[in-house]
Amino acid sequence: MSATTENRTAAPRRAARSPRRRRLTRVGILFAAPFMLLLLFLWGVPVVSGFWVSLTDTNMAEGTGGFVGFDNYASLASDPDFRSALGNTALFVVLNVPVLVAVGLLLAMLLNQPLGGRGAIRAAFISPYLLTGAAVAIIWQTALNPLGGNLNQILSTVGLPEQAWLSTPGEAMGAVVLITLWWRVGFPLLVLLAALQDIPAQLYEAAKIDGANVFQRFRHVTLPAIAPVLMLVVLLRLIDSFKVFEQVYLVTEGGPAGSTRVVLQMLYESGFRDFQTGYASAIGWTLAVIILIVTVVQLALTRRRES
Amino acid sequence: MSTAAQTAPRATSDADAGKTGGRSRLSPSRRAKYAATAFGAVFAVGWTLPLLWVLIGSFNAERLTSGAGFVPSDPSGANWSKLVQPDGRAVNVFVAFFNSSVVAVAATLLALVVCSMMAYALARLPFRGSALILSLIVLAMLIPTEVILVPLFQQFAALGLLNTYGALIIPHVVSLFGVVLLRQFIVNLPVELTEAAKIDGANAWQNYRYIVLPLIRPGLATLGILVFLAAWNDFLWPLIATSTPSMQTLPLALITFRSAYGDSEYGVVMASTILAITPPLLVFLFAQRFIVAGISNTGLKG
Repeated sequence: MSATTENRTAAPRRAARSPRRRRLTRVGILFAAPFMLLLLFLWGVPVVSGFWVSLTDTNMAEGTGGFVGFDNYASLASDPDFRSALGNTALFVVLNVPVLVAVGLLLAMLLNQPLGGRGAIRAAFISPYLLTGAAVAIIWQTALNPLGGNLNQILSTVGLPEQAWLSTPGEAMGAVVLITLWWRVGFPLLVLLAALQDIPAQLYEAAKIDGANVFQRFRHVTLPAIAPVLMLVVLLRLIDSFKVFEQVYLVTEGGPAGSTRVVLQMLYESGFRDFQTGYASAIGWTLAVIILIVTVVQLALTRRRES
Repeated sequence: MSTAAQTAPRATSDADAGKTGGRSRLSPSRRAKYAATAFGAVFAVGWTLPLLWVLIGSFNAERLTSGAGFVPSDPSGANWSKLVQPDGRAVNVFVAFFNSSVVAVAATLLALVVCSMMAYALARLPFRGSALILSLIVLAMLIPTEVILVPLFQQFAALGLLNTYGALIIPHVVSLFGVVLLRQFIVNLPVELTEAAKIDGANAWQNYRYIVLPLIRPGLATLGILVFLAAWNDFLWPLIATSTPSMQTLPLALITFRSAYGDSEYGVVMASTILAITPPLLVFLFAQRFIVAGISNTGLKG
């Protein structure tokens, strides 16, 4: 990099250097090649071809595939199924993100205390995060089973009426949100715990001396210190929540009465059950644009808060 | 290694702070510590209760409708022997277990090689456009994989790769987060190490293989575990990419199993669930610090 300054007297060496650097460049490309080719195959081409297919009426079952412009997007806008799927997804996002982040933060603050057996307690909260969604669905569908499921047994032991959570339209989404909380809370917990541990203890000492109580210390010391990480966790949870699929599809199958059918389930069904490839691609792109808009808005809000 | 060393002393110093504060009998700070510990322990046990239900359920031979779930009245290993002898069943859970193992292990090894080479190139062998590529990678992390499912499926179909191990493995080999993570590890290595090796006549490959790779082992462990878990737990892509039971991975097999036998033989479904969740939990048990480091890093680097 500093070849010109250090080698002013050694002109021959400088001449010898440039072919060597060119070789270095070539070696770098060789090292990057496997990843770049796979990235092109798995990301680059699908992103472009997916958009192209979304402008056609491709149907793998009927063999059609003509260019239709933005017709798919226009029909999406007036498709009651898509509207309800989008509404359900939005409801899930609105319920899931605050619950997950708030509980994650509370657990992180608990684990930031000098507890005995802290490692074991932390492991208990993280362990569901490692399970496949299929196992999570089976576990909770069994537990919430109206006939003899564990939770209903607990309810009837305590003397409360048994519930059919998953088949009651108003309650199914709530159940899905709580299942997601159980499954995914390890992520905000770990990230926020790391942020909490980076807060210097002196800050709390100083606040205590100034007479700040627990809530004031949380409001004026903890929150400002973890704010950037907190915003990032919210953003990542937002993105993830828009892509909700497994725990809904496998627990409620979108029911009862379509009240938990989300966008990704609709994409899966129209693309891989009904083979409306063009329509499904349009759903995918719409979801991507929604997620990008949410990301940009969230980042802008974060930046404004920081300044 | 370094991550564990960083978190462990922190934990003890916190505990010491609690102790020194409470030298006189039961000081408020020590009492608060006991209360918090008790609260945390009760809460944590409650959180893992569903996992315990599965384990207990796998020894319950009754039908779910007759009130199975808690302590079975007549515990038996019948469910497990039915798993071992799956005569006439549509899905053999052990075939699925084998498929999942092949896919997860192969994806992990390939991802480690491919991603670390890419990270090495970005960190130490910059070529024209490599800075642009790094920002493209960060940008691509914002586009959810689920959105490109349809075109991805078409590409694998065009190559005739559907319903093969290749289709199940390849999507997990490219980890955008992995490249960013490993690049950071390599950038933080002292330049003198690789420069010294260069003077001794080592070429780029030898430098990568014998100097860089051994030094970034904690990063490799973190990435490897995250890829393993992702490949082992993936549901939507295998659902789309496989078409025969013999190619199903465990998450799919579980669901096929549930729809076929869930009502009559719920204990067998529980037993196969145990089979599916044990490897990730074992990995967690033995490599907790790498998983913790990996997840915490996701938050910090986006």
